[in-house]
Amino acid sequence: MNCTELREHLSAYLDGELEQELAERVKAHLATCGDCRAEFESLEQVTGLVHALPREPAPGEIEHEVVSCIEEDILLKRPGRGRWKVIARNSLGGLGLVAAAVLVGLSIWVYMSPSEPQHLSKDDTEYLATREVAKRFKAAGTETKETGTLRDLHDRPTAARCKGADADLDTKPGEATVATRTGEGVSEKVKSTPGMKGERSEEVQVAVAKRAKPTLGADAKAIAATKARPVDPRDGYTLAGGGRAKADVPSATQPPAPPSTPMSELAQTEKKPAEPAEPEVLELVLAADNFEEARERVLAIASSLNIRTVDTSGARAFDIGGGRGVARRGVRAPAGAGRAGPKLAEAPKKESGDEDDRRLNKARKAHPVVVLVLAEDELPRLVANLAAPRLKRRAVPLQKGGGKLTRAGETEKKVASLTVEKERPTPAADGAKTPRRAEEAGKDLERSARELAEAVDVKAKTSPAPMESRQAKRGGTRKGLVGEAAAGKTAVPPGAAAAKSADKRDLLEDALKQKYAKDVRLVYIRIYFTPLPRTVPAAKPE
Amino acid sequence: MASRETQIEDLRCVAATRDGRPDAFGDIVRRYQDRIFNVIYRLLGDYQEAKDATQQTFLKAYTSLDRFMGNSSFYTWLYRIGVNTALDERKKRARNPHVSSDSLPLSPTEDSRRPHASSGSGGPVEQVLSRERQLAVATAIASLDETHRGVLVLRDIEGMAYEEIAEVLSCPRGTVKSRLHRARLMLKDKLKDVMQ
Repeated sequence: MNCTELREHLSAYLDGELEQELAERVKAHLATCGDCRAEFESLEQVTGLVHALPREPAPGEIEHEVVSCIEEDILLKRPGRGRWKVIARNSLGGLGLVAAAVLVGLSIWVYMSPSEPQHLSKDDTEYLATREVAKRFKAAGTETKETGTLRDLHDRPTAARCKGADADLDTKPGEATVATRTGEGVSEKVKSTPGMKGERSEEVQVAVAKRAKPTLGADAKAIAATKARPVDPRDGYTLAGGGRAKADVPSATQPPAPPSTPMSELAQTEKKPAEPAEPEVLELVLAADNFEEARERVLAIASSLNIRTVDTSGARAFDIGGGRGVARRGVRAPAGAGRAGPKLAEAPKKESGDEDDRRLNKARKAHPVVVLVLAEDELPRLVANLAAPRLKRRAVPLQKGGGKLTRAGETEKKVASLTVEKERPTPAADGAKTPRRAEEAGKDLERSARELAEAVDVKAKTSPAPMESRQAKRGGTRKGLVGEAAAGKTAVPPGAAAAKSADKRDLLEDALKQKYAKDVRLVYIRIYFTPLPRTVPAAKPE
Repeated sequence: MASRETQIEDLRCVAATRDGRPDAFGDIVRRYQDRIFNVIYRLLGDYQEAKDATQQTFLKAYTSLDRFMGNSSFYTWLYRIGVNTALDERKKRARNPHVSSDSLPLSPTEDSRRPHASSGSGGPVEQVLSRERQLAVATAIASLDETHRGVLVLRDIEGMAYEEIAEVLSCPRGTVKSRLHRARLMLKDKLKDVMQ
């Protein structure tokens, strides 16, 4: 081997990548040839210079950006198939107790009620009516006279199914009806409104139950038992059923329910789409004067709750050729966005459904979207926090008499009663001497909402609810909370506020432990911002 | 280069991502972003472009995850995407020079905003000389043609074995060996002033 041939191997020899026999020959040659040794040393020097280059750490935002894009892709892909979509629209800031309480109630209801199909078969109607009858039996202990669409079911032999449904409800007395309670609260409110159409309400309820039909387990029970809101185009809240019911989303956290006769039959007759990777998507449209401020508030709330956010307001666009791109494709208008929700006693908006739809779509295209990614269990807490009015920096001592602040609506009264029960009066905080001002009222309200959120959290942690009724558990927690508060019990232990940070840590640890566990379900909440309509009257506490 | 445990963890994350858990892919990003970025940065010579290309690399990997069959290591598959993305970026830049930034490596002012760029040892004069040397080396690497630059970066910066480089670049091991030698000779020629 001459020097020219040998020098071809110098780099490999330097890297230790030569075969042993060849390496020994190169080594022997270098020991005798000065030129080749000089060449080798120069290569060593060059390599040393390259090695000495500092390693550039990646910019910190890469991971965040990539994961955000992926989550956006997950949220936006398969646009034609529809998802379980819910749109609740409300004013985020400044609307006071009415908006806060309604948003809490509606959001939770909306979470439990996936969609509103328009056409129902007789079987669906029967099934739903059976549910309704069973529920009424349970609630009133007497026979219920169905009206409207339910009357059609009366002639059918539904006694056995009634029994089965009733038994289902009985199995989870305190838990399976929380969602129901929330839904009923909304429904009752609606019924008290002049112009409300009760029959239509029943029809919608049937629709909801139909969507829940393929589901086995507590989800179905909660959803079927949940009262649906009636359709009123003038309402400020819009419920949009995207065609994919939440019940259709399979989850490892929702094991099959004990077989009830109607459920089993329906489950056998209907095909259940299996898409394990399909995430749950909630859509929330928040009306606000200042989008940026509202967006920051949402991000701050999410941050305080250890909820991951995907802020898509930045101008990110990755043009990935071929395949399904992760690039942002714009926000498609969700299916059923034009559908109107219930008319509520305090519904501030009087727009028609078309105008509403148009404005929403415009807002979606023009304004930023914030996506929150959170575990399913965290949803009530997030909703309660989102519904809380804007926080003021000034601390106000606890005062008695939060019930005075409420105006109308049962939910508000419940929150107020919770406040009365939970707050400990202090000598310095006697609000009876001075008239309460609007500012103080707002603060009491926000405190109430926060306490409500904390109470929900603490209750959820302390109640050993079985896994087969997670949704029912969520609803039941809220129901139990309100009920206990009304009954004079304290829903939150005295040290709950102090232990909040510890609870957060625990939650975080649990989340980390179960990172890859199958029973952790992520929920995606897409939050849009839309301008406040001019017709919205400012909510003034009385 | 990657340990067996790391490779198993990679496959676990891939499976979890396929199962609809983007946070699992976040683990992959976290594990490889520094190395991928460093390679792309040395291939492109531009910090911002390298950042964008790194993001694209991971996004492409995510979108192509279904095509990863496990025949090769995940990280070599990821590096292949990264190198191809960087090369595509350079081609794009060559076609639209007015859109892209300067193809030369980062300027000293850019470099100065990253504290790790200087070694920290020696006096100010030594630090200045060291930085000048690093800039000259980075410029010389960036001036190599793409075939030689890729091999050199993967070996001398990333520390890959020849086999792994061959896997990343989809070429025979012998080609890697000869290209690397040629790349070092070219670099030596470009850096002769620095080496003296």
